[in-house]
Amino acid sequence: MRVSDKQRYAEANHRIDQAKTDNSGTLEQLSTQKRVNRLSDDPVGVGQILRRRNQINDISQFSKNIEFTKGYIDRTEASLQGIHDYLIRAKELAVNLSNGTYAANSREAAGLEVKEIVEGVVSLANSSYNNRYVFGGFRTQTPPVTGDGQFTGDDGAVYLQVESGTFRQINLQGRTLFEPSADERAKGHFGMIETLALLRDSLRGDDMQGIRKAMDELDYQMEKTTSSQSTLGAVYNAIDETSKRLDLNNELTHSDLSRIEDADVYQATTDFKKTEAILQSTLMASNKLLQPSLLNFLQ
Amino acid sequence: MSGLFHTLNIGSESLFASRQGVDTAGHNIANAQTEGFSRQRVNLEARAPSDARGIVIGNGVFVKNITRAHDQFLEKQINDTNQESGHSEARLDSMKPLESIYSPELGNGVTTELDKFFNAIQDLSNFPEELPVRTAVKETAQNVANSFKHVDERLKVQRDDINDRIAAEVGDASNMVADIAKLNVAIKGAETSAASEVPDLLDKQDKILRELTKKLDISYYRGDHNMVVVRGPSETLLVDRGNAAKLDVKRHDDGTMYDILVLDGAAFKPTVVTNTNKRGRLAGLVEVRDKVIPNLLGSNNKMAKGFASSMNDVHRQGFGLKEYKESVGRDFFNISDDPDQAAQSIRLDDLIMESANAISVAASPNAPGDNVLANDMLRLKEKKVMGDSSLNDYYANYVGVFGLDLVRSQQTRDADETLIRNLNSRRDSVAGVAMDEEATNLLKWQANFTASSKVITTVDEMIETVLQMKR
Repeated sequence: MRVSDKQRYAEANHRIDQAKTDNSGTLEQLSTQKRVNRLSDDPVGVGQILRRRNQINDISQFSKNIEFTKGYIDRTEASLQGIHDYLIRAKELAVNLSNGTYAANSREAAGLEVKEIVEGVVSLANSSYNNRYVFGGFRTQTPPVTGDGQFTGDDGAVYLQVESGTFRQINLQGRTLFEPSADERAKGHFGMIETLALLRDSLRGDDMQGIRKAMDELDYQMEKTTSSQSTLGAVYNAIDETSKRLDLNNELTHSDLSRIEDADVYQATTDFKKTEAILQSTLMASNKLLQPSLLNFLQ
Repeated sequence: MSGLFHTLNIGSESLFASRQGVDTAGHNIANAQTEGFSRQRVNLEARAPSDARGIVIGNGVFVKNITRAHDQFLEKQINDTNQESGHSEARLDSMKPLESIYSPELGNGVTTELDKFFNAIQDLSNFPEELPVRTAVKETAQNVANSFKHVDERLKVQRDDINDRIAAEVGDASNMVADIAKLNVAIKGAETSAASEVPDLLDKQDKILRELTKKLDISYYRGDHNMVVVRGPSETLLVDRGNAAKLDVKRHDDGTMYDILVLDGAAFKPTVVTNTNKRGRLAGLVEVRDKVIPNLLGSNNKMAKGFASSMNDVHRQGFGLKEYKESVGRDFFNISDDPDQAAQSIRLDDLIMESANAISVAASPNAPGDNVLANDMLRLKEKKVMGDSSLNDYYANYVGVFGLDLVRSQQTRDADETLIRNLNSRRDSVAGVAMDEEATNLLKWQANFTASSKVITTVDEMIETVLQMKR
């Protein structure tokens, strides 16, 4: 075959270009530590990368939501516990003082304590977390329970997203706790504050009948409080489970992302060494290839 | 007639032929690196013999012509491949800058901003009554709108850029066509009865033809007197003898993009060839300008529209805070109804711009803690608001399709390049100058020259001898 000089130079140039391109490609992988540096490196992979990043972003947001939710439930639970404690104390007083051996002035004194209890329960019913009244439904900016036991909140159920596709109710609807439903009313039940107020007034008025009536009703109210507590506990546990799952998911997604996106450093290093060697030998060979010519030997 | 002068004549012709050999070797060496040059060869021929007293005697040598080493079939093949490679190269070169708009490293892409926006909505769901949270929603929503706009703008800048490049390349092509016609005249003029071809002029014309095939879809053949006839797309006649057509651009009827015109014939009648031109750089540029970029613009617009209207659908049902706590029906985004202007027109509603209290996520009036609609907005993230896919999937999909297109055109370009390189190598093998060969030629002609001069000195001595005969 006839080989012209242009052919030789073009070939040498092409080989050197090729070696340089390969070399700088691996250099890029090494310096960014990423396999996918631009869309055309792996168009399908870019879609996967975006999806994984999106998931990771979601997970960190869900974790934030869960932290908030836990705080919110903790506060609600603490308030319920406080209310429950107050109800027990009220029940104790009622049981003791329904006994005829106590004098009227003892009942008067106990009435004062129950008055404090009423105020305490109202204050707990108006607990807030991060400037939001936890029992008020959506009316988070106005105290949901008035001094005389009126419920002024609404039935809003606050849902928060804790997982992709999962929204959980994090609040207790205060109305069920503090206001008797029509059904309950028909069965002769009262509202919580109403019951305590009945006890307070009966103690002050030395009304044994009233005290006993309040005593029975207190049992019902305590039961309601306890069942709310267990509902909350269940939500809390579920969220805790979700949180653990999210942590695991987070790890998996991170390693998944890394698998798609990151360069295999050992591979890249070896490739780099290899391409570097190729580049050098190409340069050396080109140098040798381009020199000899008949002209060098003609004198 | 033969005699000593006849012999002297043979010597001098031989001397001339040898000198011509050295001359051509020198010309070849001088042009060894000239783009498009084909090595030349001196073709010698023995002169017709003559009859002298019944003996047929040789009459020496003469330089018949000088031809170039050229393979016209290979040349055709190269030009054919040039058409494809020009197309794939221009396509790739003009698509490559678009890649950075969608590269995963860019932190302010549409999906990143959407993620931040939905995070802000999450916070809004947690704290619907907090003003700072609402302000964050406002800010991130503006960023989402800007990111749609940004993609729109950058795509349009690239499109305008390609449009300008088309105009420039059409100008170049027009000049080339004119040059080819001028060379036709020169080739015909230089032609003599002895030399039917003029190597250097043909080389020059072939070189321009090669460049023109890279740009434009043409076909050509060499006709009378080695003059080339070039036809362009839509059966236009670009070069015929010394006549050249003009190529020009004209704004399309809607006043935005350029159309490519060929003005040919005696009357320079314009023909629009924008879409009939299927090969060459111009075809690649037009394809990216009129198909690839409009597709991307369309997807971006569709996504902006899908996002804005699904947000609006939810937002319109909502009650806000304070002055907006008892009213519904407000939009979240304002966006043009024209689907082609969605991305460039998307912006926050004026009421929200004025006050973050107008952000309405409460399903019931007077309920500051109501986050029902914020949760509905969060569902939009997973919901198939783009027909059969979610926002993120739609984005990943349309960007992925573009990426695959990009990879494919890169592969096509690489394949074409390899093909061209091989063909050029074959062409260089035929037409390129080999120094060793020229060095040998120099030696050869030099030896020939020396020997020829010996003939002359010998005849000289013989004449001397003859003259000595009478003193």
